[in-house]
Amino acid sequence: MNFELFLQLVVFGLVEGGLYALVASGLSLTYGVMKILNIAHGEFLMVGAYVMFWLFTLAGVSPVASLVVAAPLMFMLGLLIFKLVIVPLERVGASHLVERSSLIAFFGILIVFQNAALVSWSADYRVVSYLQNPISFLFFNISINRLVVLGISVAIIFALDFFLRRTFSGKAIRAITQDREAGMLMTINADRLSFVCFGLGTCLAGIGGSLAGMLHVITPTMGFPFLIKAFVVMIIGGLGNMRGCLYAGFLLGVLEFIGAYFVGEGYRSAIDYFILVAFLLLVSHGYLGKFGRSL
Amino acid sequence: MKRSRMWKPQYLALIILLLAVLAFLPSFFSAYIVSFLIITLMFIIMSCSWNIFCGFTGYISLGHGMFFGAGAYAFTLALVKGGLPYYYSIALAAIVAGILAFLIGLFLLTIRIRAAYFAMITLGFNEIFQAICANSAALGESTGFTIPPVPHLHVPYYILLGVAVVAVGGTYMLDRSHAGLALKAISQDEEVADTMGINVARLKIIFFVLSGILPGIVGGIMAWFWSYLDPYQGFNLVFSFQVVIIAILGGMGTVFGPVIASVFMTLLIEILSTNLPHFYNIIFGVLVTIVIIISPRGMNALIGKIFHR
Repeated sequence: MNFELFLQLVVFGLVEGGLYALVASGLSLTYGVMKILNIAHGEFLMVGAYVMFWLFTLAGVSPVASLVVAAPLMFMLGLLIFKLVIVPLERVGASHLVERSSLIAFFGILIVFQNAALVSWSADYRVVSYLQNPISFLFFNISINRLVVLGISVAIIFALDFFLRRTFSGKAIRAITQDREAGMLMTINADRLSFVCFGLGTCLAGIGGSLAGMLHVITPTMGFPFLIKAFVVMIIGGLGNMRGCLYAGFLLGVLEFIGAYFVGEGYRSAIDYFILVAFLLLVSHGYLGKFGRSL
Repeated sequence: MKRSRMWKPQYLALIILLLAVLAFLPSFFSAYIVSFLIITLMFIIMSCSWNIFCGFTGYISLGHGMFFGAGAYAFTLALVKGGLPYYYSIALAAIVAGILAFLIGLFLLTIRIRAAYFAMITLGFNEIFQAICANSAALGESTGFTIPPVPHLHVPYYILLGVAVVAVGGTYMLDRSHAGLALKAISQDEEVADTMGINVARLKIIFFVLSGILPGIVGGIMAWFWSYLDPYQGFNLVFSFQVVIIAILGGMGTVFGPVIASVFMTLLIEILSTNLPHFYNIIFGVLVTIVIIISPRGMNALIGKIFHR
């Protein structure tokens, strides 16, 4: 493999990786604050992609501008699901019970969303062609929409990072992520923060979906692979650590493209898991102790 | 289900009667009913074996389908390529699934790992095996294998019935044994259990292997029953999830919960998918969510509440 091809793969990997990091940031926020693994996260992404697609096809709104519509819409959807599903579940008390039952509840939501999309929008592959003309740099070519996706995802992650590190509510979110009870003793309203963070998480998933729809085909089942990648990125990057998420996303994206080039496209989904398993193996034996703290 | 209540003679008589009915059922009913019962038994065994490890220790494995798939592939390769008789093939399926569970247990359960991470990594193993089977020429790639059909529907039915009795009986015995108590202690606080002198890692691996062997057997028999096998049927992610849902719906760590929920779910899926083919998944999802919100401790607790009021 020559140098130019290698560089091309790395650049494509970085674009994908930025997207993974954006999706993972939402997952990491909700899992960190509520300790509830939202396995329907990919489905919110799918809904976001469809919102963008229909706005683009029916109203001619550009995908970037449609983020302005998709983001608040997904935020509201997240709040609604929080009120309908998570609040009644948390009434039970015992946290390990909530963790288990929420897994089932979210699996139910996953099935409902996926099949509702299948019934109402059919399983057709949908594509948005927007800004696909390539521009060439010194050693590689890249289409403009990929640059736009990379730019937006990196910008959003840095904005989130700023929010979590520098503002009071951001610090409260990080405190709750580290120790919920201690945070509540410091008069942080953990329930309200959970509410907002869940909305924020689905909102980020929706934005990720709108961006993913610019690069990939849009189908009702597009969400689940993104959930898995986001999960891997979340573990490697560390809970509530947005910059860690970004670096882990880049790492995963680049390794995925280079790995798929060598062992074949069919193994692409397996590559993520090889990376995850290898990482956990290293961390659990303390070779990467300083990263292990976040696990 | 108090200790004294279960051993009353009328309960024993009821169980024997139920088994007798189940044993004679296939002689009187159509192939459709027998096939339905086979699917029900499959879910009962899968959810019970999931429950043996995951229900008692609280580690949720989202990839129990991998043992199913490993067993199915071992059975198919032995039967189709190796030409072994089916009983040896089934034994081989059990052995392969057991070895796989042992290796994964050595890898995952000897370290301290968060429940959610354990869940996602087991799911990942399922995906890795699916990718390997779909890309390897020796394992039939994505077209898979066709298998000679079962000689008679009764053969898989009686084998599955036997395995189901072993699974439910085994859970019942585990529930009141010392090991069952130790596993429940792990689910409540692993570090305390370790300090109390329970060999946590060994116990977890033993029961993980036990809970992997039964799906291996079921996988082999179901591949035979369907008479074909491909990676997406063998390592089916949705199937792995269904098993977990059934076990949690029934009640984790209870003996009869998974059985009740298996019957409920197979009936529900059968009725909805024949009557409302387009909307059945949506209704299914809504019902699952509602049941878990109403009764987070599972249907076992729900039924207990209704009958002991």
